[in-house]
Amino acid sequence: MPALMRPFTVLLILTISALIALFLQTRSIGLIEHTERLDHFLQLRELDSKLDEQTLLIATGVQNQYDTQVQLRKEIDTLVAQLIHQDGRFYQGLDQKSSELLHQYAQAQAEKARITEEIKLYAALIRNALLFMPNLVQELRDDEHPQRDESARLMSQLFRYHLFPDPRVLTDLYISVDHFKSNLDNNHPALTAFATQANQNLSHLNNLHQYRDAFNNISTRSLLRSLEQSYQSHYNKRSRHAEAFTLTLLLLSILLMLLLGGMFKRLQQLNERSEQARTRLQDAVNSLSEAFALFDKDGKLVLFNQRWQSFYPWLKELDSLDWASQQRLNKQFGVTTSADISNTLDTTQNYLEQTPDGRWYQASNNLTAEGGIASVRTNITEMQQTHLRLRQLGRALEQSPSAVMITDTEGVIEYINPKLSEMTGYLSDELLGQNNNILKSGEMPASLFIEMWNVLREGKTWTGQLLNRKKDGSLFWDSTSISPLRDDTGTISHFIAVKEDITERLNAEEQLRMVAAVFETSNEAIMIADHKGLIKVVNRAFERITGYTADEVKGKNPSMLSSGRHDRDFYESMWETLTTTGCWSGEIWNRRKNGSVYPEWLSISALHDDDGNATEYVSVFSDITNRKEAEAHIRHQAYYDALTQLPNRNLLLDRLEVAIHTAERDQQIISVLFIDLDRFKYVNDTLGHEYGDELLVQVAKRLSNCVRESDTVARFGGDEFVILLHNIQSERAATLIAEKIIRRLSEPFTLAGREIVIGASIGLTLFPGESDDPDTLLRNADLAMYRAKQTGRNRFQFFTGSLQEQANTLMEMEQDLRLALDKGQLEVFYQPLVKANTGRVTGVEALLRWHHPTLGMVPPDKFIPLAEDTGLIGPIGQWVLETACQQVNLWRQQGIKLYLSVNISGRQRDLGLDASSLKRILEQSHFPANELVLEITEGMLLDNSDTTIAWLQSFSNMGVHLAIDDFGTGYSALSYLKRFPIDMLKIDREFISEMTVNSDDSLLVEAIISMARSLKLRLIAEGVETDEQRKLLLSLGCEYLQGYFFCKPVPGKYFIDWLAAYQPIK
Amino acid sequence: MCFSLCAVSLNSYANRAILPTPELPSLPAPLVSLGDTLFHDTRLSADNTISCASCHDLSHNGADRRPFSVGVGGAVGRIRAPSVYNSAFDLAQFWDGRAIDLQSQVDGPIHDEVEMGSDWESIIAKLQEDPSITQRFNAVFRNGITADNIREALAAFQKTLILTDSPFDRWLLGDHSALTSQQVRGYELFRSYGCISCHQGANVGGNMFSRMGSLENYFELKGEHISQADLGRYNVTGNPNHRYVFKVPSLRTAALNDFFFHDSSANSLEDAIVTMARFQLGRQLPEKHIADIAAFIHSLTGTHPRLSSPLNNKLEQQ
Repeated sequence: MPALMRPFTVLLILTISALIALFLQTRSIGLIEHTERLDHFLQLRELDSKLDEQTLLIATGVQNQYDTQVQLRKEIDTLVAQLIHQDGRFYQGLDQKSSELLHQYAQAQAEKARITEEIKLYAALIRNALLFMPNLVQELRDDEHPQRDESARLMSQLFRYHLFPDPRVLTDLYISVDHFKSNLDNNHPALTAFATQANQNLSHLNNLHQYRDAFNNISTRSLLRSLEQSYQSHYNKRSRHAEAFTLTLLLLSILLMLLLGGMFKRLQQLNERSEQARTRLQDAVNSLSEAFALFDKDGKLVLFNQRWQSFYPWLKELDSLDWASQQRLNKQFGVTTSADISNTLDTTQNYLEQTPDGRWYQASNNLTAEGGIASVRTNITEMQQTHLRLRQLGRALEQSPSAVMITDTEGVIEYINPKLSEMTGYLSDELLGQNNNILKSGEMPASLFIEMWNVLREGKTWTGQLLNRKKDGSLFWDSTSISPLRDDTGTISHFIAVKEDITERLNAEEQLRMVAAVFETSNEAIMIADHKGLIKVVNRAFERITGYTADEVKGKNPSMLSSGRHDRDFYESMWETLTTTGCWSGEIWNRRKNGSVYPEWLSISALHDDDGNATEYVSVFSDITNRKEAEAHIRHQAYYDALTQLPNRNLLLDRLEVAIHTAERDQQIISVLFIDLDRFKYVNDTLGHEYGDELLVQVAKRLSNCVRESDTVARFGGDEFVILLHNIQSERAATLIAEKIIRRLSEPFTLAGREIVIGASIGLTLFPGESDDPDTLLRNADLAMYRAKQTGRNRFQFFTGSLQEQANTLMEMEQDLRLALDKGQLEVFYQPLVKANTGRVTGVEALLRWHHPTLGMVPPDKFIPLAEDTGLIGPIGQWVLETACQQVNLWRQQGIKLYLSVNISGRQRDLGLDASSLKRILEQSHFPANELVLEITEGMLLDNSDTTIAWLQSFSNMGVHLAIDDFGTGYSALSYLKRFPIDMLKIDREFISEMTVNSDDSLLVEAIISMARSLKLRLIAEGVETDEQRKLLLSLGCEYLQGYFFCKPVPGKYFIDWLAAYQPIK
Repeated sequence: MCFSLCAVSLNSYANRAILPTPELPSLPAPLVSLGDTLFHDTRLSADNTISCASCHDLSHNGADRRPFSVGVGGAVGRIRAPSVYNSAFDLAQFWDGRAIDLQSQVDGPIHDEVEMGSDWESIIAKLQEDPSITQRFNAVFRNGITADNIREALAAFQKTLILTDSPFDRWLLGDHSALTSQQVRGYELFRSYGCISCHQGANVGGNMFSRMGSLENYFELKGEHISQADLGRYNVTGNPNHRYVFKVPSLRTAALNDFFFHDSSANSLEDAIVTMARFQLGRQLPEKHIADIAAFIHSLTGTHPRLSSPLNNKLEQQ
């Protein structure tokens, strides 16, 4: 026997080795790793597109911090490094071509990273300049630099280019910047810095755009796509190999099974031979489960078992029974046979017997060697009944489209229909009598079968999916339903299984599940339309973006989404592109269910059948509203005032320019109204900036209501507004509007729960008129406004040539005044202050005079306001203080003790005059602080701000006295005075001159004097010209006097002469 | 008024550019603690004299009090040691960004002959003689003491060196009392001068590269011999445009620094601001603006348990 087994053993070992090798081979291409790889591709694609988005946001200036970009860059670098690692699982699964592509991809990413760094740098430099340039322009503006407006315009041009980079504009910009650079008026540091910034900004912009284009040219996306395709085809190839391996594996397995079966059979035969020898006789008689009888050659019954007797209970006296009598008796008792039984025993016969009580026996009569008969009867009643039933069932099942298999309770197959044969590849004969295990794949868990048997034994139907194996070894999924069949007594006799091959369905479902997951989770809306363009299916993102549910759009034409913003030509050219090239993409405006219109980026691809006919159209789009809005917001901010939402200065200038062109072409008249609010500063200072802002908003609304929709109302700056009236009939129309505006703005505003009354001064210019240049038009209107303001509030004024002249004169005077100090044209005059009751001179007021080379002596009221406007009052005021202190101190040293009174302007506060600078002046001239009086105007008190009070208080704290000049002309309420550290009042000359002729004024002077006393203020009467006035003032109790009656203001040297000659007038 | 309007529109270039310091994911404690030990371990240097902490003083500012660090055998470094605090946020490591992350950064100082002057072979050999540290490595890593694992542990520890809860972060998150009015003014100036264009993000810098002296040639004016280190990123990319380009440093630790810039050419925050204004903007700033911006930069400094009350230190020095 060992010799017999050896070849089998060798074959067995060989087969098993081959099996193991093949098994490992098929394992090496793991599905999990494949899925992982696909997942990595997906991650790469997602990260890459996020990174692209970030980079473009940075390049367009929308993103101003780089953390997000850096984070994404780190993620993608880590991922790429992991994928490209030579020993990594990912890399191992790639073929030569794919790994080359992966290296290319990594290089492209590195290149992208490199370019991104440049983009980041230039975007930062541009931001830096855009943030910094307004400071420079403001600086120029503060210094009233002549090129301030030019620089502002250049800056706005740069902004515009940054927002809307148009190459044609770029050329203009280069010219503008060059022009600006070559026309620098002087070396103002802010101006040179501005020119440098503007120049650099342009080159940065240029670099940025170049790098951005370079960035866009690196197509990591298509590289990744080729990598994926290459990998996918490699994988497919390997999968096919793996399939072949699997097939070989199966064949080998079958070979193995056959070998084992062969060995088993041989062993069994050997066993049987020895067994038979031992138990032949005993089995023949006693142990037979069948009924057995042996007749000799004479037909006489020689041997039978117990079962024979029970099978034929009517046979008595068996010992004397012979073959023929048995047949006779059987017939007599109604036994029928399927064949005629010959009485002569010369042949072997097989047939069926049916007893009258319904039992079926299978009969087999065999000739023995000696010529007798060995008769065997098997009770096949049950089997026969089942067969009958199955035959009936079988006929019904034969044509069934489902595969059907019937087994006995042990699982042995008793019936299959043709469909099952088709499904499994086995012929009916090959399966009948076999255990149904033959179909098992071995891939299903044992627990499934345990559960299945439990269900079946309980008599219930089991349904489930099984992975089975065909005759050719291939696996297939079937959906199986197994039900028990019961016999007449109700016990389970068979199982019927109905099967359906669902392998394809499962594959398709798997595919569908993956596609559906992508479809449903995509952030981009996907819409699939049929060949007629009717919507078949949409995804969740579609529902989210459009607001329509899938049910609402199914079967509809996508035109239901159209916004009406595009014309027929647009859609026709879209369809034409789609039909000729198979795809179209672009930006399109659509309408949501709620009616709102939004922009989307749409890509449409046509799907074709084999004949090239379009079968479906796949549209993918994303809502780009947010991006659009962000762009629009930036655009809006550049052209509109954030507070009032009115057009700002930039937009106004643009529109004015256009309006001038239009008016010129169409022979129309336009008018520019320059509006300045009266008392706005007062509101701002008393109520605070919040209410100041609120007031501006309300004013903006009223202004907009005063004009037509087509006119432009702009906020020019601060409390200045400009209205541009297009195409008006005449000057009269502009007048009416100006009057209307003044009326409307004079009506009370409600702010902080109270009513505030302001007003407005308006300057108007017309085109055609003195100028055709926007800047000059505006400047003229401004000039006219200024004039209107000077003539009183709530007025308007047209620009005229004389205004221009005045302005020119003023300008010339301004330039002269700048030089006056250096050229020694300024001089301090002195006028005595006399104590009323003694007539003694106790002090002098220093008064500034200007000896103009051509105009002669210019009075202070002509040039002091100019000095205040231009800021020259700073150095001039300081010079007056220094000169007067030195002069008066000189006199004091000569023994003439006088106090000194000097006028100061509120503007000097902002121009550097404060306690410490005053202290320095006093120290330098050794002048005692308490002998100095600073005269201020009532107007300064009206300001009433804490800073003004603190400023005055700081002088008072030094011991310097403060006087109010021209008291009585302003608006100051007396109660105001308490808030200020005031020591003296100077009654305005108007009252004094009228006092002796007008009793009202005399009463007023009396009232002022008594009020001053009660507030413990010293009082000086200005403009005393007659002795009558002197006497009256003395009698009313006025302490000090000043005026021509004593002496007019004179230069220092004359003053000393006068004083020497002066006799005190009592 | 036009310009304040422009400023409104420009605010979009400056708003939300600085982000609050985010929280980093927590790392396994044994790994971090191992990194901590290694950070202070002098066996990483050739002659067992220098550890990471020698030049990155965690109690002070995570950097050196000297303008240039001193390595093995008294060798003097060529570039200012940057702070290890908040370094995890940076887009790359070193002034010239030659290391892409904290792990690969480790090899720099280890091999540099003027820093630790050592090599992995001898470091691993020294550490393997120490059973206790060997045991700690084995507890964290499957393969015990390797160069990779040392890098990993050091990087993990450095990722915990994040300064948090700075006054400015609190202010960003809505606590209006967190900044003084001077600091708020400083922030406004920081934005309107455009400093915020490069110094942005959570680390107020560290996420981009820029040229030292975008308007004037800093190195020409510096007047000294231009060293290899002065070439900056050019040393990494070889691109001539990258001469004098450096990683924009984070300002989160600036208020703690004794020296500024890669060449330690400024020794006070105010000096550094003056230099920046001159070379990046081409302007001289008013004294008051410098003081305000410095005050704002102080508000960027957060706290860390290892840092010994930074503000007090600084005040004492002043």
